[in-house]
Amino acid sequence: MLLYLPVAEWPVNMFVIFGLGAAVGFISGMFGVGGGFLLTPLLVFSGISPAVAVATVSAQVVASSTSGALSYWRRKSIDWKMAGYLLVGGMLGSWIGVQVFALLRTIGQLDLVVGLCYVVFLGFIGGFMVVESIGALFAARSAEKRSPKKLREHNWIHGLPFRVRFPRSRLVISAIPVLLLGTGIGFLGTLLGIGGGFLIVPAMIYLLKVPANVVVGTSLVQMVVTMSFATFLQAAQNHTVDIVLGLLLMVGGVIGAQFGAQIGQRLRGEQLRALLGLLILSVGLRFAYDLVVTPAARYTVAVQVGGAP
Amino acid sequence: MTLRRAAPFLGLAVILAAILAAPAPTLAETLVAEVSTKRVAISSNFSGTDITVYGAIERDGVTVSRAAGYDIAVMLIGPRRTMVTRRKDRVLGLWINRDWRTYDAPTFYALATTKPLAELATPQVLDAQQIGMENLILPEGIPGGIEVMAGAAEFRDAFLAQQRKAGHYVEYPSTVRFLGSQIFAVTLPIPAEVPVGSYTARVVLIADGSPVAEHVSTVDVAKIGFEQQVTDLATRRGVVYGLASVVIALMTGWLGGVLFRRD
Repeated sequence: MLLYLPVAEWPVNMFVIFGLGAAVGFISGMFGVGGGFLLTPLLVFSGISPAVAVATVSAQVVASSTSGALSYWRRKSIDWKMAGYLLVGGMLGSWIGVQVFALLRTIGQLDLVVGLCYVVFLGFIGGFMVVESIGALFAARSAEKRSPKKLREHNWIHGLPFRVRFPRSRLVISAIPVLLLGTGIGFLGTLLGIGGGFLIVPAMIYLLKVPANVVVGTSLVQMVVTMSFATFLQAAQNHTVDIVLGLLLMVGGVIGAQFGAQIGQRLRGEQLRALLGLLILSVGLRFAYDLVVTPAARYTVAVQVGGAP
Repeated sequence: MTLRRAAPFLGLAVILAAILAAPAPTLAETLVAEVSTKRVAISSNFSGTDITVYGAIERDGVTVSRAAGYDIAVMLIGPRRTMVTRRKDRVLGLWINRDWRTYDAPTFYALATTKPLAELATPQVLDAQQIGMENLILPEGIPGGIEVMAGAAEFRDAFLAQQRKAGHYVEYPSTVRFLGSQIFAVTLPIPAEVPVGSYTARVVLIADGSPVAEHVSTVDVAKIGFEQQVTDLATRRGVVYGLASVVIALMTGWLGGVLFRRD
């Protein structure tokens, strides 16, 4: 059934978009990630302009993170103070992201920068996850008891000034890396149309040494607020949020996530990480392929936005 | 001094005015034409539509007989926009947008004729009448902000090729049919992803290879109902729309959490 999207000005098959949302929701439920890094490229491949896809997926990320954040809230596994610091940085990053997004769109380099960011970040994180989880799988197979790494071991980050106490995380750490991390994730999330969960969770665990039981809940709160802000800015400034498209993706995503979560509970942590790593890596490689291989059409035509290109 | 210098131009102007005021030479065919829809409404189930352009050639007593008969060219032209054509070049192994040209060009161009374009009239006539996408006047903007009338053929050709591939520029030769000797009609499809705005339906009557009459009417392509309200809100009241989008997203997420609560 065809549905005309008012802001994207593009007719789509309603069930295809709903299915896309459900499929990405399934994956996000299974792995506990937002899925924006899959959804944005898929929408672009199905003909929706990158500008609308990125802005609309930020609204979808809000919806998919909200239910997760609420569930962690009930379990009281959120460090609100840490979330507050993160989202102050996140909103600043998001604002910068929207400005950079508009500028890149005007000069015609949005696709390039988004593509490069996907290659670099997805490539690194995906590659790291695959290597790490395969190592863990082999270690488990040989039943070799490895001494658990000292998570609380301090690094150079803990020597920075402006130290703040985060009681829930039982952590005293400088505010600078927390704010910077929030800003970076907010910026990338807004620019790339992703929540950034797969970036912030490892960064909080390995760099800030936040205990694992509050990491996911806290990062979800940061995502809900930062992406809400991004959605608002994209809508108010760039007029690129298509709420009809967004609603289809949200409903599909919420339903898909339930089935994904049930499958996810049956898989082991290392297996999940290996699969997710492969998925992230392959999306990164797909972007690398597009940048390197001679394009079928060397010329592109677009209606001019903003000033001189 | 100023007056004496301006005198020859003044004379020229008088002659021009005289020519324009004189009765037109008696090419006595008149063309009447109309479009089937004056207003194309885009609602949520819009998947493209057809527009029929029909009309009649009216002759009077003094009309000379035309040996080769009449030909008709019907054009449906979308609103003009500035469009950027970019070329990718390989830089450090990556394909990157480098050089560009802008074209002030119609967003949509459909042409239907009674004959293949080459048989319709001479290239000069087609060019002057802007019949056929190759003959469109497309003012070109080049890096540095200068606008030129005849620029790089390479970019122009690429622009036209991309527009043709996207289905925005289409030619349907030999599709205008005559019902009898003086009444004609043609149906032009409008694809679903056309831009909204004011379209021009232009009909040119060609007799013995030269244009003798022309008729222009307009077609409005506009969103209606819900689609229009959403677009209005999104473009004119971005702050309200943005807040509403965020609230909808939060509500959907919350509702999902409540409905599928597992803990």
